[in-house]
Amino acid sequence: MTNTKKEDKTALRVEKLMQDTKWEWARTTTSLRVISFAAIAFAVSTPIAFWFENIAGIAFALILLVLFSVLRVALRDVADLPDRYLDERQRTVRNAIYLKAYQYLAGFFGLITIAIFVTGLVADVSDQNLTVELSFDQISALAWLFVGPIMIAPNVALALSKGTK
Amino acid sequence: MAFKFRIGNFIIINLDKDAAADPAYRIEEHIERLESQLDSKVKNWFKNDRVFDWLRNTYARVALILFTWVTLFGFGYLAFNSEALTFWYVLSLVLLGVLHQLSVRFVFNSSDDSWFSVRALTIESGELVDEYQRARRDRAFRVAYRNLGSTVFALFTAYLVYLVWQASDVADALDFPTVLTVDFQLSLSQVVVVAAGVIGFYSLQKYIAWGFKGEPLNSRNKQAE
Repeated sequence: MTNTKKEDKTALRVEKLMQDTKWEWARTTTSLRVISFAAIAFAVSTPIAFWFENIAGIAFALILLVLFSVLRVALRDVADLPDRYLDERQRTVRNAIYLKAYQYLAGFFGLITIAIFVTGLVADVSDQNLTVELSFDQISALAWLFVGPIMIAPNVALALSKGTK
Repeated sequence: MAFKFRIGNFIIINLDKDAAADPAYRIEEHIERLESQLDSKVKNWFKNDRVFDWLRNTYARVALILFTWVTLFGFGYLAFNSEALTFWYVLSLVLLGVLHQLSVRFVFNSSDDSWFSVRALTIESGELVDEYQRARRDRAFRVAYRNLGSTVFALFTAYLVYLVWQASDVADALDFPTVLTVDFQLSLSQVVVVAAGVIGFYSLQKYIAWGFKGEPLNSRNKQAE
């Protein structure tokens, strides 16, 4: 019963989203590219802002969240909707993008693994403890270094692939 | 003497007895036949293998996924604290990877269309994965991506909450730590365990995201019997 209600709600939301014309300005090739590049810029600069100033970091993170939301609406939430609400073409594009996103994320984790390994090896060889002092803001910066790109990657890739067609 | 000519779409090849008796021609023909047999055997094994069915049913998948989590974190914790277990931890992760691949009939290995073509076989990856497997594989990649993202977010959030809780406990009021000292005092075996754990975590994530539902315990023919 609850599931049916939830499904009805989702169906209604999807129908509204698919017929939406209010956000047409954001759906042009140029707009999608501009929003995507802005999102990339803020995903990169948010950790930097957090590193130096907590308030600036929060402001940048909020802007990133707004850009992410606009991108989702502009792309009619294709990256996150269940399969049954998408047509064959949308599904194919989305699957290809998630496959690439997963591979890039795995590569990113691979780099971190290598960094951990090299750091450990150097510390072991030189018989020294590697001590890093980080402030709370800098820890937040590290968190946003991961969270920002992971959050926006599929939508940005979808927007840019749409923009190139 | 052999000759070949073309009429429209038809190619006519005529071989005389001398050419057919030519050892080079016979070897070539034999190799082609062997290649085609090998292709069909590999294809058949991927699609219809029953030897590893004990890994493919739902119960086996539930056990395999639980075992993966226990190995990744439980055994990982033990290996982190005991140098003697480092090798066994790495080996168990490799073994889990193989078991998962067998359990899902290698569907993730053929996610790239060029995967098989570079291995000297003429099998197209599409021939090994049917429509259902392809849809499930694509969904698994999506879920795996989200799981990885959520895990990273959850770990950082938990760590930040822990830091605030610790600082607040010391100050007897809500407090944010000013300076955090991260001290890397890891031995080489611990570094190997961490690296293997991270690699294992993201490599096995797609198999976990494939889900619990496995193949039926009996084939349809057996069920009908």
